[in-house]
Amino acid sequence: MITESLRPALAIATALLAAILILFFGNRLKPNVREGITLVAAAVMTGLVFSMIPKVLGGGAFVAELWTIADGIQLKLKTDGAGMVFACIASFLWILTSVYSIGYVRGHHEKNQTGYFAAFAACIASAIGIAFSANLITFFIFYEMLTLATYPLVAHYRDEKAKASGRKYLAYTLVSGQLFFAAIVWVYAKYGTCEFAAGGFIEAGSMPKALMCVMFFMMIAGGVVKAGVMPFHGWLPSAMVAPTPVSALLHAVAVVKAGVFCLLRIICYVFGPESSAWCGGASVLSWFAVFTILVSSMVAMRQDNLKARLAFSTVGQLSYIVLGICILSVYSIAGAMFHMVAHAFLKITLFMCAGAIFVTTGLSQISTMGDLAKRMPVTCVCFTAASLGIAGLPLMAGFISKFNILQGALTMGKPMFIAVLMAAALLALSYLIPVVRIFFGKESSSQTVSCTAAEHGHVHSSSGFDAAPAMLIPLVLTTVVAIILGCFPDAGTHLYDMAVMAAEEIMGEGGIYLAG
Amino acid sequence: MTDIIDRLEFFLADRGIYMLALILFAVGIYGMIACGNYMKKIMCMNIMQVSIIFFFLTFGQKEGGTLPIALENIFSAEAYINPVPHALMLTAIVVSLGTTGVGLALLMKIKDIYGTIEEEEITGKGGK
Amino acid sequence: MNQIAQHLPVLIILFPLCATLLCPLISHFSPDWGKRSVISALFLSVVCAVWQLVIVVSSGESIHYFLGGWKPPIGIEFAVDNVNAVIILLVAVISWTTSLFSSPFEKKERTRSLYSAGYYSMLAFLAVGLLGMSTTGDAFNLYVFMEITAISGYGLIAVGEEKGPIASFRYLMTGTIGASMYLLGVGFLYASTGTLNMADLADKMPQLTDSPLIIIAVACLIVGFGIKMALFPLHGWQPAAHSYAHPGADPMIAGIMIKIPAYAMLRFFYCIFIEDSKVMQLFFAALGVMAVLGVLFGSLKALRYDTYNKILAYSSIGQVGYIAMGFAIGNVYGLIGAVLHIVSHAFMKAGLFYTSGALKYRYGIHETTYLGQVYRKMPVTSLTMVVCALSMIGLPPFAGFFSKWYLALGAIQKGQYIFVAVLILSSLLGAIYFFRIIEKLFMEREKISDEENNMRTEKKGKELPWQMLVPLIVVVAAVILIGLFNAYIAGDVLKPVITEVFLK
Repeated sequence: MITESLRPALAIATALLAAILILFFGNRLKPNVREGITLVAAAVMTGLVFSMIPKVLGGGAFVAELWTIADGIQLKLKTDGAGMVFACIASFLWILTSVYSIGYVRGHHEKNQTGYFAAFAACIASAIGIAFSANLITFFIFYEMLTLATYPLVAHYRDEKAKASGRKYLAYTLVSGQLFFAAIVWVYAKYGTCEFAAGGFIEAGSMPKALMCVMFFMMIAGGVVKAGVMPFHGWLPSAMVAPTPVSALLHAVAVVKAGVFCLLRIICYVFGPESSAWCGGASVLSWFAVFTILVSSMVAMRQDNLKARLAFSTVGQLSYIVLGICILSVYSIAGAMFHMVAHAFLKITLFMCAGAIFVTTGLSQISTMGDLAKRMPVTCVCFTAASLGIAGLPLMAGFISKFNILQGALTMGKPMFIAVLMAAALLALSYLIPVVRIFFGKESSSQTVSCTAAEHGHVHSSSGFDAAPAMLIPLVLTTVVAIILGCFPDAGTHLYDMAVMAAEEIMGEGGIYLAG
Repeated sequence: MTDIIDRLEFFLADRGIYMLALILFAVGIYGMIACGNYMKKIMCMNIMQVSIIFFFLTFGQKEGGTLPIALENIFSAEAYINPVPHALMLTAIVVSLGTTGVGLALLMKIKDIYGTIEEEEITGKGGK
Repeated sequence: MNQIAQHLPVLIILFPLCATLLCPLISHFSPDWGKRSVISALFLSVVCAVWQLVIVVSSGESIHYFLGGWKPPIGIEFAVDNVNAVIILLVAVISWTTSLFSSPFEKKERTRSLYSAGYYSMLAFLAVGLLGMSTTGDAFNLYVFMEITAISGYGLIAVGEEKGPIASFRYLMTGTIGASMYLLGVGFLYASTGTLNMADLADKMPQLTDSPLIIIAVACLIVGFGIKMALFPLHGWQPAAHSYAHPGADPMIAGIMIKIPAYAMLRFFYCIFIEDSKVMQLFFAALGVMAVLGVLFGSLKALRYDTYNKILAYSSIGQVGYIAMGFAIGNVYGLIGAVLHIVSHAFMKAGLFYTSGALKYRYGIHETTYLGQVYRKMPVTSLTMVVCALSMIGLPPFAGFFSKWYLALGAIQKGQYIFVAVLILSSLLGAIYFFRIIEKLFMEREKISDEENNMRTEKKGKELPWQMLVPLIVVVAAVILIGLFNAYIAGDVLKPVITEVFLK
């Protein structure tokens, strides 16, 4: 069942190698060759990751024990169901975002493109590393690598604003990372292992309740910050100063998903559902998530900057996943994992739309975007579809996951959560539909659009149809995938199956764990 | 009277000599901290080093012991004093000489740069 | 071959010692060859140190070398086991790279040959002292090597920047007090045991462990070593000395000159005294307090400075606190962490001072306020700086992270949670001041105009001469490799000796 194989390591190495190649030789290569490296690496890595799916679906796993990284601890990679779900979306979306990035940075004439692509590749490498890590140390190494690789992206523009948000990002992530580190040491010293195990290795009652609760919160500190659970979400909206593909990557794929995935690993694979419920950590966290869902939706409604509105929407949607995990039923965990997939595709579509609008017309404020549908019809349609998906309309990917989480809440008998989940769907509609209405409405004349565009001065091609193809194709593709996943959640790579499988593994044979 | 002298002698041999070393040591360190003149500091440093040499030599001493040079008619080790502290202190003297030398060389350089070797004046000229 | 292998411990020290004496002589005829004699002698030391490490680790037995054939307790003994074989290699590597690194400096300064000869002599002599301190098994011999280190150190600091002589003089005062304290402590030990050999002292100590004489001796020793390793609150000499030393020799002074006394302290206390004696409890308590305060003080103080060298110097005070913390934890992982941190911090700090020296060489200044976007002109230097800084903060997968891991693990195993809190706090403070530098060097525009810049930099286009690039690359490689493969050092090399010898 378990195969010793270097394949997971190779997947990470591909991306790392690409990052190193670009960093050292990027300035000497032609841009086309440099981007070629990114695309080839992305394709190879995706191929490697996807080639491991059949085995994992069959209940097996690839394990790569690389070398001893610290006395008594291996640097170990393992592909289990949950990790594969994350790795699949991260690697697949890397291809799309790189294509999109190429269109974006060239259309927008960005500086420091070499560093940009190198950091991008390093980010993905660490995200895949996080997905495949088999123990806490390996996990932590990749987790901090992700923090560091994202920093140059956040501070990309190098002006005061970018630097300030870079600092903010580092402050949040490093502080939480250090708490996480202390908790890892503590767990290792106390239990003598830090290997992830489905269902957890910390037994309820093995230490005093209050102490375990402290340990729980120190441990999830890293995840909570990266996942943007309020009140630890501050870095996320200010990281908006970064170029749009970075926001897309940060907010939809790598960083925030890594945070959520961290929570999943800790709650389900370190503490296990039983201990998480016993020490009371999971229920406290679930209330944080509820708070975040409600508040972030309301804040999102008041944002006029499109990217900022999307950022707050991300904050809310991520807490959906957190809530799903914290409900601790097999349905909700499967739903949470699938929502990682659904939200990844939907939110990346939204961000790519926002970026395409910005590069093509120079607009970033929602109120100025009146009648945009005439200028960029395809983009606007994709944006609409993705908005509906985020709100959880049936036949879109968002519906499947939300339905599962709801079902989980129902089986666990938590009516309050059900009410919140329903309300959140309506709130999501209420902050995204107005945007769509402005796109298709006639609230401002097309003259304003061209005026503002001319002012901004970086209009790529004012007369072409919609956005440049390098930007348009990826965002259409992600929309299509999101719809396909909505109709047939199991299509293609069996992500839904894998999520359910992982959830069942966590909860054991009985399927539902009944909290005492 | 002789009694007092005896006791004094005993005290000196037993404790007093060490106290003397200690006092010397304290004087040295105090001087190094309190003196404002760098030359005085070096002198105090020497006092401190001498006190340690003194200390080693005194505990190497014993009553009735003679120089550790093999004499023809004495074979037992009890009759000689311990030669090791003396050997060690020869080295220590060389070391302290070296340190003093370096210190003096530094003083010449400081004098070249600042024109003075008074701590206060140098601090005033931004030599902190 | 076997004949040479027998004499390795002394050969390692003998090469630089010969170079110290020969360098002025050769320089009289040809300054270049004088310089090369030192570099090649130190390179031979590196080779021998590697060889020695291989022998010691593969045989699993320590080497005992009796100088002049006199057996202890009469003669002086050089003892090399796994732990100090690693330290010796560390010293040899950093000395060699530093000698290489400083060679372009005097070319630029166009100084007299006499100056160059003196400088290289002192550099080699510093290596002699440090190598000796890490090799010797004799308490008094340690004092001699300590003073050798110190005297050559005074010289190298004095030939540095304008404020060098003053910094050097203050160091001379404090350093002499430290050495005298050490000598006094040894005196007390000798008075109560009658021996100077460390192994012999260890045998005779158990009967005497709680006598007041020994306690006074221990207090003297802590102060002595504490001054030499710049442990808070005995660090007063250190910031000025490290910031104003000769930029070529600074990596060695800052990198290893305060680490080797720390190592000597470890050897002295853990080999001689038994863990549960009263004396060791005193040692644990004193060092624990000093370490915690030192780590916090160093990190906080570093925040207040803008000068690159000052920041690095104060951060050293904090990092020495880490090492002392490892000693105060005093279990297997604590000591592994301390020794690993001696090694990794030596490379990191040397690396950072190499970058400081490189900036000084290229721009004539190393005040970060004036510099910006350095990475465009000096990519290797910038890479070194980033890698070393991240390692200093303690981020994986660099060396600094793992020493911190072992320290934290040891502290939790011993129930000293406060140490873990301090470690985390200091990492975060470190992140603040290092990212401030990184931000400046990478993101700010340059404040010097191009003309000024061309005036400052003699050679355009080329980043640095190869003699300076080699050390940078060695350091980066070491920081990354020690990080990734620390388990072999910690588990296979250090652990057996630490469990058997240090924690009997």
